[in-house]
Amino acid sequence: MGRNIPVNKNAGIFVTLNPAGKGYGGRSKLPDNLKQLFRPVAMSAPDLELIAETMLYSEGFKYAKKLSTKVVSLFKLCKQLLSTQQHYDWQLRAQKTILGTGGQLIQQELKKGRKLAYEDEALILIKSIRVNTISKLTYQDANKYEALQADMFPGIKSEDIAYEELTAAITKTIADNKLQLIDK
Amino acid sequence: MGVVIVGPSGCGKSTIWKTLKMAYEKMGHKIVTHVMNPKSMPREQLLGHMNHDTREFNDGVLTASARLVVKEPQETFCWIICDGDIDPEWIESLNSVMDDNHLLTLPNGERISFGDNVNFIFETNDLRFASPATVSRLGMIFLSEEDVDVNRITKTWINK
Repeated sequence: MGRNIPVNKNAGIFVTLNPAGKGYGGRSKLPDNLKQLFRPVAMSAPDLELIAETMLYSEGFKYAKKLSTKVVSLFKLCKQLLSTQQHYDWQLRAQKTILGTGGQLIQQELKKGRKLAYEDEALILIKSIRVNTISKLTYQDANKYEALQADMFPGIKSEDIAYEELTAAITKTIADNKLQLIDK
Repeated sequence: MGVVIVGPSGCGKSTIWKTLKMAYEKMGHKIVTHVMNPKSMPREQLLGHMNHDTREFNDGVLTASARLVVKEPQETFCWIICDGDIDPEWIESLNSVMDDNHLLTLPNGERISFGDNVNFIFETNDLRFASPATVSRLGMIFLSEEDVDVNRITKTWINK
Protein backbone atom coordinates (compact mmCIF):
# COMPACT_ATOMS: atom_id res chain seq x y z
CA MET A 1 0.00 0.00 0.00
CA GLY A 2 3.09 2.17 -0.10
CA ARG A 3 2.90 3.42 3.47
CA ASN A 4 5.80 3.46 5.91
CA ILE A 5 5.17 2.75 9.54
CA PRO A 6 7.99 3.55 11.96
CA VAL A 7 8.43 0.74 14.48
CA ASN A 8 9.08 1.47 18.13
CA LYS A 9 12.77 0.82 18.86
CA ASN A 10 11.82 -1.34 21.84
CA ALA A 11 9.78 -3.70 19.70
CA GLY A 12 11.14 -7.16 18.99
CA ILE A 13 10.25 -9.93 16.62
CA PHE A 14 10.70 -13.49 17.78
CA VAL A 15 10.41 -16.62 15.68
CA THR A 16 10.03 -20.06 17.20
CA LEU A 17 10.73 -23.06 15.03
CA ASN A 18 10.85 -26.79 15.21
CA PRO A 19 13.91 -28.28 13.56
CA ALA A 20 13.13 -28.94 9.91
CA GLY A 21 13.87 -32.44 8.74
CA LYS A 22 13.44 -35.86 10.28
CA GLY A 23 10.19 -36.54 12.02
CA TYR A 24 8.65 -33.18 11.31
CA GLY A 25 6.30 -33.38 8.38
CA GLY A 26 5.37 -30.21 6.59
CA ARG A 27 8.20 -28.08 7.95
CA SER A 28 10.49 -25.96 5.86
CA LYS A 29 13.72 -24.27 6.89
CA LEU A 30 13.83 -20.53 7.40
CA PRO A 31 15.53 -19.08 4.31
CA ASP A 32 19.17 -18.15 4.98
CA ASN A 33 18.79 -14.45 4.17
CA LEU A 34 16.01 -14.20 6.74
CA LYS A 35 17.81 -16.39 9.23
CA GLN A 36 20.78 -14.01 9.25
CA LEU A 37 18.60 -11.23 10.60
CA PHE A 38 17.73 -13.22 13.71
CA ARG A 39 19.94 -14.26 16.58
CA PRO A 40 19.59 -18.01 17.03
CA VAL A 41 19.01 -19.40 20.50
CA ALA A 42 19.03 -23.19 20.79
CA MET A 43 16.79 -24.87 23.35
CA SER A 44 18.07 -28.06 24.90
CA ALA A 45 16.15 -30.68 26.85
CA PRO A 46 13.95 -29.25 29.60
CA ASP A 47 14.51 -30.12 33.25
CA LEU A 48 11.41 -32.28 33.57
CA GLU A 49 11.78 -32.94 37.27
CA LEU A 50 12.04 -29.30 38.27
CA ILE A 51 9.08 -28.37 36.09
CA ALA A 52 6.97 -31.21 37.48
CA GLU A 53 7.89 -30.33 41.05
CA THR A 54 7.03 -26.66 40.62
CA MET A 55 3.75 -27.43 38.88
CA LEU A 56 2.70 -29.92 41.55
CA TYR A 57 3.52 -27.52 44.38
CA SER A 58 1.58 -24.73 42.73
CA GLU A 59 -1.42 -27.01 42.23
CA GLY A 60 -1.44 -27.81 45.93
CA PHE A 61 0.39 -31.12 46.25
CA LYS A 62 2.31 -31.29 49.53
CA TYR A 63 4.50 -34.21 48.52
CA ALA A 64 5.47 -32.63 45.21
CA LYS A 65 9.16 -33.49 45.46
CA LYS A 66 8.62 -37.19 45.98
CA LEU A 67 5.79 -37.40 43.45
CA SER A 68 7.54 -35.42 40.72
CA THR A 69 10.48 -37.81 40.74
CA LYS A 70 8.10 -40.71 40.39
CA VAL A 71 6.13 -39.19 37.53
CA VAL A 72 9.26 -38.30 35.59
CA SER A 73 10.77 -41.75 36.11
CA LEU A 74 7.52 -43.44 35.10
CA PHE A 75 7.50 -41.49 31.86
CA LYS A 76 11.15 -42.25 31.26
CA LEU A 77 10.51 -45.96 31.79
CA CYS A 78 7.49 -45.89 29.52
CA LYS A 79 9.55 -44.32 26.80
CA GLN A 80 12.30 -46.93 27.16
CA LEU A 81 10.34 -50.09 27.80
CA LEU A 82 7.12 -49.75 25.86
CA SER A 83 7.09 -50.25 22.12
CA THR A 84 7.85 -47.35 19.82
CA GLN A 85 4.69 -46.05 18.23
CA GLN A 86 4.03 -43.13 15.99
CA HIS A 87 1.36 -41.81 18.31
CA TYR A 88 3.23 -42.05 21.63
CA ASP A 89 4.44 -38.92 23.29
CA TRP A 90 6.28 -39.04 26.60
CA GLN A 91 7.68 -35.55 26.46
CA LEU A 92 7.02 -32.40 28.39
CA ARG A 93 3.61 -31.64 26.94
CA ALA A 94 2.20 -35.05 27.83
CA GLN A 95 3.63 -34.65 31.29
CA LYS A 96 2.14 -31.18 31.67
CA THR A 97 -1.27 -32.53 30.71
CA ILE A 98 -1.28 -35.09 33.49
CA LEU A 99 -0.02 -32.57 36.02
CA GLY A 100 -2.83 -30.23 34.95
CA THR A 101 -5.47 -32.94 35.31
CA GLY A 102 -3.92 -33.90 38.64
CA GLY A 103 -4.29 -30.29 39.71
CA GLN A 104 -7.99 -30.23 38.86
CA LEU A 105 -8.55 -33.46 40.78
CA ILE A 106 -6.70 -32.32 43.89
CA GLN A 107 -8.59 -29.02 43.88
CA GLN A 108 -11.87 -30.96 43.97
CA GLU A 109 -10.61 -32.94 46.95
CA LEU A 110 -9.25 -29.91 48.78
CA LYS A 111 -12.55 -28.06 48.31
CA LYS A 112 -14.24 -30.82 50.25
CA GLY A 113 -11.91 -29.82 53.08
CA ARG A 114 -10.09 -33.13 53.20
CA LYS A 115 -6.63 -33.56 54.63
CA LEU A 116 -4.57 -35.49 52.09
CA ALA A 117 -1.86 -37.93 53.09
CA TYR A 118 0.90 -39.04 50.71
CA GLU A 119 -1.16 -42.05 49.64
CA ASP A 120 -4.12 -39.86 48.68
CA GLU A 121 -1.99 -37.51 46.62
CA ALA A 122 -0.30 -40.41 44.87
CA LEU A 123 -3.68 -41.93 44.07
CA ILE A 124 -4.87 -38.64 42.57
CA LEU A 125 -1.81 -38.55 40.38
CA ILE A 126 -2.25 -42.18 39.34
CA LYS A 127 -5.82 -41.44 38.29
CA SER A 128 -4.66 -38.48 36.28
CA ILE A 129 -1.88 -40.44 34.56
CA ARG A 130 -4.24 -43.29 33.73
CA VAL A 131 -7.00 -41.14 32.26
CA ASN A 132 -4.51 -39.49 29.92
CA THR A 133 -2.32 -42.47 29.10
CA ILE A 134 -4.19 -45.77 29.02
CA SER A 135 -6.37 -44.87 26.02
CA LYS A 136 -3.37 -44.50 23.71
CA LEU A 137 -1.48 -47.64 24.67
CA THR A 138 -1.55 -50.71 22.49
CA TYR A 139 -2.89 -53.91 23.99
CA GLN A 140 0.51 -55.32 24.97
CA ASP A 141 1.82 -52.02 26.22
CA ALA A 142 -1.20 -51.54 28.48
CA ASN A 143 -0.24 -54.69 30.37
CA LYS A 144 3.37 -53.58 30.62
CA TYR A 145 2.26 -50.17 31.82
CA GLU A 146 0.30 -51.70 34.71
CA ALA A 147 3.48 -53.41 35.89
CA LEU A 148 5.52 -50.24 35.59
CA GLN A 149 2.98 -48.25 37.54
CA ALA A 150 2.83 -50.86 40.30
CA ASP A 151 6.63 -50.74 40.52
CA MET A 152 6.73 -46.99 40.67
CA PHE A 153 3.98 -46.55 43.23
CA PRO A 154 4.30 -49.64 45.44
CA GLY A 155 1.47 -50.26 47.88
CA ILE A 156 -0.89 -47.78 46.27
CA LYS A 157 -3.87 -49.30 44.55
CA SER A 158 -4.58 -48.31 41.02
CA GLU A 159 -7.87 -46.60 40.34
CA ASP A 160 -9.51 -44.76 37.48
CA ILE A 161 -11.57 -41.62 37.75
CA ALA A 162 -15.17 -42.63 38.29
CA TYR A 163 -17.56 -40.89 35.94
CA GLU A 164 -20.64 -42.52 37.39
CA GLU A 165 -23.35 -40.55 35.65
CA LEU A 166 -21.62 -40.73 32.27
CA THR A 167 -20.85 -44.44 32.61
CA ALA A 168 -24.50 -45.17 33.30
CA ALA A 169 -25.58 -43.09 30.31
CA ILE A 170 -23.06 -44.78 28.02
CA THR A 171 -24.10 -48.25 29.18
CA LYS A 172 -27.70 -47.38 28.44
CA THR A 173 -26.88 -45.95 25.02
CA ILE A 174 -24.93 -49.08 24.13
CA ALA A 175 -27.91 -51.23 25.10
CA ASP A 176 -30.30 -49.01 23.15
CA ASN A 177 -28.21 -49.24 20.01
CA LYS A 178 -27.73 -53.00 20.42
CA LEU A 179 -23.97 -52.63 20.57
CA GLN A 180 -21.80 -54.94 22.64
CA LEU A 181 -20.21 -53.88 25.89
CA ILE A 182 -16.77 -55.31 26.52
CA ASP A 183 -15.91 -55.08 30.19
CA LYS A 184 -12.20 -54.44 30.55
CA MET B 1 -9.37 -29.58 23.18
CA GLY B 2 -8.35 -32.01 20.47
CA VAL B 3 -8.85 -35.74 20.53
CA VAL B 4 -7.74 -38.16 17.88
CA ILE B 5 -9.22 -41.62 17.50
CA VAL B 6 -6.73 -43.83 15.70
CA GLY B 7 -7.60 -47.22 14.30
CA PRO B 8 -8.15 -49.27 11.14
CA SER B 9 -11.45 -49.18 9.25
CA GLY B 10 -14.32 -50.91 10.94
CA CYS B 11 -12.89 -50.77 14.44
CA GLY B 12 -15.57 -48.40 15.69
CA LYS B 13 -14.07 -44.93 15.55
CA SER B 14 -17.29 -43.21 14.54
CA THR B 15 -19.31 -45.43 16.86
CA ILE B 16 -17.27 -44.18 19.81
CA TRP B 17 -18.11 -40.54 19.37
CA LYS B 18 -21.69 -41.25 18.34
CA THR B 19 -22.22 -43.31 21.47
CA LEU B 20 -20.66 -40.60 23.60
CA LYS B 21 -22.85 -38.00 21.96
CA MET B 22 -26.02 -39.96 22.64
CA ALA B 23 -24.91 -40.63 26.21
CA TYR B 24 -24.38 -36.92 26.84
CA GLU B 25 -27.76 -36.16 25.32
CA LYS B 26 -29.32 -38.66 27.73
CA MET B 27 -27.71 -36.70 30.54
CA GLY B 28 -29.41 -33.56 29.26
CA HIS B 29 -26.50 -31.85 27.50
CA LYS B 30 -26.93 -30.29 24.11
CA ILE B 31 -24.32 -31.30 21.55
CA VAL B 32 -23.72 -29.78 18.15
CA THR B 33 -21.53 -31.68 15.71
CA HIS B 34 -19.97 -30.60 12.44
CA VAL B 35 -18.58 -33.51 10.47
CA MET B 36 -16.22 -33.11 7.52
CA ASN B 37 -13.55 -34.92 5.59
CA PRO B 38 -10.62 -32.54 5.36
CA LYS B 39 -8.78 -34.56 2.76
CA SER B 40 -11.64 -34.42 0.29
CA MET B 41 -10.92 -30.82 -0.64
CA PRO B 42 -7.97 -28.54 -1.26
CA ARG B 43 -6.59 -26.52 1.62
CA GLU B 44 -8.23 -23.32 0.38
CA GLN B 45 -11.67 -24.85 0.57
CA LEU B 46 -11.07 -26.16 4.07
CA LEU B 47 -9.41 -23.21 5.77
CA GLY B 48 -10.65 -20.42 3.56
CA HIS B 49 -8.63 -18.25 1.24
CA MET B 50 -8.04 -14.66 0.39
CA ASN B 51 -8.55 -13.40 -3.14
CA HIS B 52 -5.40 -11.38 -3.80
CA ASP B 53 -7.00 -9.05 -6.33
CA THR B 54 -10.14 -8.09 -4.46
CA ARG B 55 -8.76 -8.80 -0.96
CA GLU B 56 -12.03 -10.55 -0.31
CA PHE B 57 -12.02 -13.49 2.07
CA ASN B 58 -13.91 -16.68 1.27
CA ASP B 59 -14.69 -18.99 4.16
CA GLY B 60 -13.73 -22.64 3.97
CA VAL B 61 -15.66 -25.59 5.36
CA LEU B 62 -13.77 -25.68 8.64
CA THR B 63 -13.73 -21.93 9.17
CA ALA B 64 -17.45 -21.70 8.42
CA SER B 65 -18.11 -24.38 11.07
CA ALA B 66 -15.82 -22.53 13.46
CA ARG B 67 -17.87 -19.37 13.06
CA LEU B 68 -21.11 -21.25 13.78
CA VAL B 69 -19.58 -22.97 16.76
CA VAL B 70 -18.41 -19.82 18.54
CA LYS B 71 -21.94 -18.43 18.36
CA GLU B 72 -23.28 -21.30 20.46
CA PRO B 73 -23.83 -20.69 24.20
CA GLN B 74 -21.23 -21.99 26.67
CA GLU B 75 -23.47 -24.84 27.89
CA THR B 76 -23.70 -26.37 24.43
CA PHE B 77 -20.90 -28.79 23.64
CA CYS B 78 -19.65 -28.34 20.09
CA TRP B 79 -17.63 -30.96 18.32
CA ILE B 80 -15.91 -30.37 15.02
CA ILE B 81 -15.20 -33.80 13.64
CA CYS B 82 -12.53 -34.24 11.00
CA ASP B 83 -13.11 -37.70 9.60
CA GLY B 84 -10.22 -38.40 7.28
CA ASP B 85 -6.48 -38.89 7.07
CA ILE B 86 -4.30 -36.43 8.88
CA ASP B 87 -2.03 -34.37 6.65
CA PRO B 88 0.41 -31.67 7.84
CA GLU B 89 -0.98 -29.50 5.07
CA TRP B 90 -3.98 -28.55 7.20
CA ILE B 91 -3.43 -29.94 10.68
CA GLU B 92 -0.40 -27.74 11.31
CA SER B 93 -2.71 -24.75 10.98
CA LEU B 94 -4.74 -26.12 13.86
CA ASN B 95 -1.76 -26.38 16.23
CA SER B 96 -2.57 -23.09 17.93
CA VAL B 97 -6.18 -24.23 18.37
CA MET B 98 -5.15 -27.38 20.18
CA ASP B 99 -2.74 -25.86 22.70
CA ASP B 100 -3.51 -23.42 25.51
CA ASN B 101 -4.26 -20.53 23.16
CA HIS B 102 -7.42 -22.02 21.56
CA LEU B 103 -6.98 -19.57 18.69
CA LEU B 104 -7.64 -20.22 15.03
CA THR B 105 -5.90 -17.72 12.77
CA LEU B 106 -7.49 -17.40 9.34
CA PRO B 107 -5.48 -16.63 6.19
CA ASN B 108 -6.79 -13.04 6.29
CA GLY B 109 -5.37 -12.47 9.76
CA GLU B 110 -8.71 -12.77 11.52
CA ARG B 111 -8.64 -14.71 14.77
CA ILE B 112 -11.33 -16.97 16.16
CA SER B 113 -11.06 -17.81 19.84
CA PHE B 114 -12.78 -20.98 21.00
CA GLY B 115 -14.32 -21.51 24.41
CA ASP B 116 -13.97 -24.63 26.55
CA ASN B 117 -17.17 -26.04 25.10
CA VAL B 118 -15.56 -26.64 21.70
CA ASN B 119 -13.67 -29.82 20.93
CA PHE B 120 -11.98 -31.10 17.81
CA ILE B 121 -12.24 -34.82 17.14
CA PHE B 122 -10.08 -36.43 14.46
CA GLU B 123 -10.68 -39.87 13.06
CA THR B 124 -7.77 -41.41 11.26
CA ASN B 125 -6.14 -44.61 10.21
CA ASP B 126 -2.62 -43.71 11.34
CA LEU B 127 -0.52 -40.77 12.42
CA ARG B 128 2.30 -41.39 9.98
CA PHE B 129 2.20 -37.86 8.65
CA ALA B 130 1.48 -36.04 11.89
CA SER B 131 4.41 -34.12 13.35
CA PRO B 132 5.42 -34.51 17.01
CA ALA B 133 4.05 -31.01 17.56
CA THR B 134 0.61 -32.26 16.58
CA VAL B 135 0.81 -35.61 18.34
CA SER B 136 1.80 -34.10 21.67
CA ARG B 137 -1.13 -31.69 21.56
CA LEU B 138 -3.83 -34.29 21.02
CA GLY B 139 -5.56 -36.60 23.41
CA MET B 140 -5.26 -40.09 21.99
CA ILE B 141 -7.62 -43.03 21.76
CA PHE B 142 -5.88 -45.94 20.10
CA LEU B 143 -7.88 -48.84 18.74
CA SER B 144 -6.13 -51.87 17.42
CA GLU B 145 -7.41 -54.86 15.53
CA GLU B 146 -6.98 -56.97 18.65
CA ASP B 147 -9.64 -54.88 20.37
CA VAL B 148 -12.29 -55.87 17.85
CA ASP B 149 -13.47 -59.41 17.78
CA VAL B 150 -15.15 -60.72 14.63
CA ASN B 151 -17.68 -62.69 16.67
CA ARG B 152 -18.84 -59.56 18.40
CA ILE B 153 -19.24 -57.69 15.14
CA THR B 154 -21.32 -60.54 13.75
CA LYS B 155 -23.41 -60.65 16.91
CA THR B 156 -24.08 -56.92 16.77
CA TRP B 157 -25.06 -57.23 13.13
CA ILE B 158 -27.47 -60.08 13.84
CA ASN B 159 -29.03 -58.22 16.77
CA LYS B 160 -29.73 -55.24 14.54
